[in-house]
Amino acid sequence: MIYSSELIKGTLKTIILKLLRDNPRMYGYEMTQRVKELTGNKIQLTEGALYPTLHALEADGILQTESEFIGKRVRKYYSLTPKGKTKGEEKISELADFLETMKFLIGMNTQLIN
Amino acid sequence: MYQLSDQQMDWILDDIRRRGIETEDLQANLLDHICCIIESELEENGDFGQFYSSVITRFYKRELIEVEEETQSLLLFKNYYTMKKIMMTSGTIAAACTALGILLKFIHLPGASIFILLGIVSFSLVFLPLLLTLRIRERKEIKEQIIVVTGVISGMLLSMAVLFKIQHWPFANIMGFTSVLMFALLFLPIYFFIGIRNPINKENVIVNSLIIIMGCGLFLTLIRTNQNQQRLEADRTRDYIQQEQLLAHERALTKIDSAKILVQEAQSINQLCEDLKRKLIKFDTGLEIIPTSADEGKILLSESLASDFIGHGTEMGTEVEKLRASLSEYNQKLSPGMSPLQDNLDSKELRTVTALEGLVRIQLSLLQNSRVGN
Repeated sequence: MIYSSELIKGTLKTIILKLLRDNPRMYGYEMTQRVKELTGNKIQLTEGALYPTLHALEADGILQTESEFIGKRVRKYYSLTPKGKTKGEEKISELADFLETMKFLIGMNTQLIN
Repeated sequence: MYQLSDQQMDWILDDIRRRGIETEDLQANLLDHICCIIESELEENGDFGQFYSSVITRFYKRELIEVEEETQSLLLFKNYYTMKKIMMTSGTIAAACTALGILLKFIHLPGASIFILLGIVSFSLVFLPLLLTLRIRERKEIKEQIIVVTGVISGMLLSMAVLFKIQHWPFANIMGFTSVLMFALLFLPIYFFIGIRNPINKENVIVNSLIIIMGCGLFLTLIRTNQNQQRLEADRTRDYIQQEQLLAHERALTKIDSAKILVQEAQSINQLCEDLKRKLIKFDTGLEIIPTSADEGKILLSESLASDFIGHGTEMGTEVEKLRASLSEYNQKLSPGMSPLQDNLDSKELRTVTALEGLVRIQLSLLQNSRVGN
């Protein structure tokens, strides 16, 4: 089962920050592939949403970039800035907390239905 | 594994640009991403064109330009809170400055026009444009965006018209009139007919529309029509001509005895007044005459400001200074029974017609004084 893009949309920033916390630098395609691998294809990052978010995080000073030439084309590697590292921790714990709450909420609803 | 050639990469980049991706960084990112997909997923002897056509669709729902729009939108959103803060601050400054400016104006203290100017500028050039940008972003539906655009642009135009009016800049009236028409004939129908369909807002929309109609009505009531304006100008011109007639009549009755005191000075002041009148009329009407007959009909003095022509350093400004010096010299030599002479040309909001009447009064006083002298 592939999760719907609606579910992933709200967590995209956190996924990017988590990936970059665990890897010193990554480029866009690499991120999509790593997420696919880690989730057994259950989560596929939409390219159309990934790059706007990467640009916004860069403009916000959370990410920094290095450009490298791969043959004729330019590849942009993203990494966390010091501000991004702090922000990353915050976002990850926020999401973890949210998931706990969701579990409780869904669990509670199931009990009610039953 | 497929190996992309340089030509194919150039072709992909061109295609990305053609599809509306303008940000260079985004172009580089998309190019690299597409190349990575092709190189890892397409077989060595696969069909590049066909595969590319299927790959590119992964990036969007309808058009690739969505990625560019989403990027720009997120970048704008980054500044959303800053923009909101600036909007609120500029709005508060605008309101405070305008209120203070009006208060100073009513109690005749200096600084009123500066505060009013600051208020209107920050309202129409900072607050309203920011309000427009933010509200357009917040309103997702096109019809709601149209309401915001027409409403805010009419507001900007109206406040700029008021600024132009108080600064005596051209096109103020036409700007004001256009803004009210735009508000009443464009914004209001759109606002009313879109809003009334929503049962939740129906009552508010009706009440607001009534208030807007009354507001526009009251504003338009204050605007003088062309016909009224012409009648007013004709009345003013007639009053002035009557003063010129009175002057001519007085001249005919007064015999100037060149042996009497202040005759030379009076002649020189009289000449200066005639010159200034001729120039003021020329500036206002373009004609070089001083009307003396009631059926002159050739001139119509407008509401122009004499202070616009009599600035420091201008030719007329120098003449006014010369007149003032002559009047002061004249006043010092007055005999008992003579009236001192005074000009009204230093007033800031002096209308041309009032300046002309002031000059005629000086000339009449000269004649009266000469009779006392005789």
